[in-house]
Amino acid sequence: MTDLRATALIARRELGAWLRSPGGWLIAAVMLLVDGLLFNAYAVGSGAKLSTQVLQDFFYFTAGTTMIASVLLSMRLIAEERQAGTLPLLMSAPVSEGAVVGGKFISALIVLSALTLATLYMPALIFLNGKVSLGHIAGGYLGLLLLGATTLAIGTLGSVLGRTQLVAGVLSSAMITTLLLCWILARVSDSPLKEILRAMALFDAHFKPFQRGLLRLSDVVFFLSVAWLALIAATRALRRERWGG
Amino acid sequence: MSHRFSQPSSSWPMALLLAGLTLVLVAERVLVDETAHVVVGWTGGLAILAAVIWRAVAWRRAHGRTRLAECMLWSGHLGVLGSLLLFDLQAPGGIAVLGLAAGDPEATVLTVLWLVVLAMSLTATLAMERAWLRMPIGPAVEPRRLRSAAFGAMSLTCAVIFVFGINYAATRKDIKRDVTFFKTARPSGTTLSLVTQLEEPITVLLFFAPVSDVLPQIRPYFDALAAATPHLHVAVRDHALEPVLARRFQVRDNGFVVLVRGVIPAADATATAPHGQFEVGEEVDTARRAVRKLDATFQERFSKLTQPPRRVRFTAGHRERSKQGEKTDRAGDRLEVVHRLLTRFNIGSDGLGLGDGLAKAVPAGTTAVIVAGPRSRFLAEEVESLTRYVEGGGRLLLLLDPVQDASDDGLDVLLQRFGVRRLAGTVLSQGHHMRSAFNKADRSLVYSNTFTSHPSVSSASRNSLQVAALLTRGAAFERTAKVPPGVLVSFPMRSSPDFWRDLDADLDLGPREALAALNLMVAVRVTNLAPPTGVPSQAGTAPLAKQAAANGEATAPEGRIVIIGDGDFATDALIKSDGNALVFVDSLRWLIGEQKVTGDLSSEEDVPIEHRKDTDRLWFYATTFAVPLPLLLLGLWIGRRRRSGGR
Repeated sequence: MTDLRATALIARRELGAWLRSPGGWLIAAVMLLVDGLLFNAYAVGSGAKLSTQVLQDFFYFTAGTTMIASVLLSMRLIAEERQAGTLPLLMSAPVSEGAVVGGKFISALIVLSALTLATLYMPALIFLNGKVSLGHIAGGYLGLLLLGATTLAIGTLGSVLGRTQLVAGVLSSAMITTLLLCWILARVSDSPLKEILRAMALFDAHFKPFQRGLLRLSDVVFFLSVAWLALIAATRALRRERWGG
Repeated sequence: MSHRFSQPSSSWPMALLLAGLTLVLVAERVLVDETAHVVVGWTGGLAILAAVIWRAVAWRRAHGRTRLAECMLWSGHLGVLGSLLLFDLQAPGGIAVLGLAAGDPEATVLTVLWLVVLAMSLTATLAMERAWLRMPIGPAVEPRRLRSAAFGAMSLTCAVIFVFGINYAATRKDIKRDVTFFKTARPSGTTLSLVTQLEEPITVLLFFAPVSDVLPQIRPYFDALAAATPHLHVAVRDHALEPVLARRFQVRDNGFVVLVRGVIPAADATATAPHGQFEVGEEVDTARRAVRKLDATFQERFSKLTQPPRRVRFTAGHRERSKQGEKTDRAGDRLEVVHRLLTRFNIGSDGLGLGDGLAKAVPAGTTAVIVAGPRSRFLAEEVESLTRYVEGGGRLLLLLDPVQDASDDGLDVLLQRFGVRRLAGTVLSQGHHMRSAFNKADRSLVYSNTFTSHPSVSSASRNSLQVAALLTRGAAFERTAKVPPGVLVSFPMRSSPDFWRDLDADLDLGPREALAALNLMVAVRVTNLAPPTGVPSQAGTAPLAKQAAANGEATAPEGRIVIIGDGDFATDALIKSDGNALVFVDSLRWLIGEQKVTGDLSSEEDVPIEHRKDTDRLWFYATTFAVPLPLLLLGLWIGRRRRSGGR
C-alpha cells in the first residue's frame, strides 16, 4: 500500500470515527456556543463600535477557541490508541509512521476547519450590518485555519509523546503556550535571541496581522513550516517508539 | 570462533563536553569583564578539547563493534569542537585573519555555518549518547542503532534549520497585502469631474520612500486622476533625498501628499506657488484611516487650492432655521449638518440681516443667499434687494413653508416676479407618507422620489430607487399665468398623483380639495430679464444683457433660484435622509455653478454597528444558539442511535 493511499485510508477512518462519535459534535457545539457568547459580549458589545473593530475582536477570540479546539481534537489522536492498547495493532499494519501521523492529522484538520468555517455566520452578520471587506473576512479565516493547522500539528506531536490523553493535552498546551508567550520572553532577552523569540511568537507576531486584514507571506510561511516541523517530529517520535533507538 | 568485545566508555566525556559548551556560552553572552571572559572561555574550550581527546583514547582502546560506536561518538564530539573553531573564525579577529570584512558574504556564511555544524553535531552526539546508555554491555553494542539515532537527530535538526532558513527568506522578501479596503485606489466621479475641469496645471507631489508599502496603495489613485486630464502631474519624491523641496512645502517627513499650483520640475526647490498638503502616513498600519478617506481629503484640499473662495449667506432676522436655532427649536430643527457640508466643499458662510445691509443690497462677494424656512415677514426693501440680486446674476436658495404655516413671509412678491406662485395649503398624501404619530397628522410627513433630469437633482434622480426626499408640512408651486421673458421655470421634483393640498387644515381630502401630482420644488433660470412694467431701469435692476455689456462681458451672468417647498428641508432631522442631502447638495452646486460636479465620494471609511433593541435580540439568539443547538441535537441523536444499536 502506498503512503498516500494509507494516509487517505487512515484519514477516512478517523473522520468516520469523529462523525459517529457524539463527543465530536459536542465539542463543536460547545465551541460554537462559546464563540457566539463571546461574539455578543466581547466583539459586538453594547456601545457603538466600528465594524472593522468588531471583526478584529471576533478573530481575536476565535483564535483562542480554535487553539483550544485543536488541543482537544489532537490529544486523542495517538494517545487514545496507546491508552486503549490498539497502537501496537496499528503499528503492526503495513503503513509507515508518516502515513499514520499524516492521516490522523488530516482528519482532525478537516474537523477543525469545518468547525472554524461554521462560525462564518458571525462575520456575515457584520458584513450585512456594517462595512467590512470580504477580503478582510477571508484573510482572517485564512489566518484562523493556518493557526489551527499549526496548533493541531503541535498537538499531534504532544499526542505521540504523551502516554495518556491527559498528558498529551498538557504537553500540547505547554508547547503552544510557550510559543504564545515568546513575545514576553523576547522583551527580556538580548539580540539575537530577542529576534528569534519574537519571530516565534505564534499569536502576537504571526496571527495579529491576519486579524487586522494584513496578509504577509512571512506569516503564512511561519505557520506552514512550524506545522510541517511538528509533524516531522511526531513522525520521528513514532518511528522511535516503533523501532526503538 | 572467538569474538573480542570491550566495554563501552562512560558518559563522562559527554558531560565534559556539555560543561565546556556551557562555559563558552557564559563567557560569550554573560561575562562582561575581559579577564573573566578569557579565563572562562578558554576553560570551556579546553574542557571540550579534553572531551574530544578522551573519546579518541576510548576509540583507540576499543575493539569490535564497540570501536565503531566509539568512533561515531568521537566524530560527534569533533564536530562540536569544529563548530567552536568556526565560531572563532567568524568573530571579528577571525575575519581579520582570513582577510575578510564584516559584511562580506563569506563572513555571513561562516556565521551561519558554525551554528549549523554545532546544531547538527550536538544533537547527533546527544542522540547517540542516549542510545549508547541503553547498551552498556559490550556484546549488546549495536552501532546501527547509534547510526540510526544520529541520522534521526540530524534529519530533525536539518528540518529545524530549513524552517529557520525559509522563514528568514520570507521575512526578507516581505510580501504583504492589505485586504481591508479595495476601492481607495479609484477616484470617485466627483473628483474626476473636478480635475477634468482644470484649466491650469496642478502638480501632486507624493513624499514617500520608494520602498514604502503605502505608496503602491495610493499611487493608482493619483495615476487615474492624471490620466483624466493633461493638467494634473504626479511625481514621487523622497523626503530624505530632497530636503530643500520638502522644506519649501513644509513637509516634515515622508508620508505626505502635496498639491501645488503649476508644474514643479524635478529639482525645483524654489517654487513659491500656492500649495496645500495632507498627511497619509508611511506605515500601512497607521496610514489605513487616511487611505480610506483619501478621496474625500484630496477633494477638499483640491477644492481649496483650485477654486476661488466662495461664501454663502443665510438670511437672518425672520426666525429662519439656523445653525444655533431658536430657544423653542428642538435639536433636529437646526442647520448644523448643512454648515458641516459647506465646510467640506470649502464654502464659507455668514449671516445676512438688516444689519448686514439686506434692506439695501446683497453684499458683493456673495456666492449664494439661502433663505431657510423664515417664520416672520421680510421687509419689502429686503425682498426688493433679493430680487435685484437675482436679476443681477445672483443665486438664491429658498426653503419655504406653505403660506398659512409661514404666517406670510412676504416672499410671494419675489416668487411672482420670477414666474412662480406658491399654492395655498399644506401638501398631504394618503399613500406616500411616513409613520410617526400614527394618526392623521402623519399625512403631512410626505416623501417623493419623482425627480426629473434637472442638474439640481441629478444625484437624487440617479439614485431614485434607493432614496426619496422627505417634506414635513410642505408647500406646492406652479407657474404664474404669465412668466416674464428671460425666465425659465422648471419643476425638478414632483409628487405622486395621490397628493392634495389641505386647504381647510382638517388633514382629510375634502370636497374642495383634489388629488394631483404637485410641484414640490422649483428651479428658475434668469437669463435676460426685462424690468417690470412701470419700473424704471436702475443700476441694480438693469437687464442682465445690458449690465453685462456695461461691464464689458461677452455673455450675461445667469441668475438662478431653487425653491423647495419645506422650510425644514435642510434641518438636521431631515437632512439625515439621503434624498434630502442629495437634493440639497446638488441644488447648491447647481446654484454656484458646479452643476457638472455630481456624484458620491469614493470612501471606505468604516461605519459603526448600530444597536437597536429588537435587532440586538435577534443578533444574540442568531449568533449564540442558531448553529450550536442543531449540532448538539445531532450529536445526541447519533449517541442515542449508537446506544440503541443502529448504524
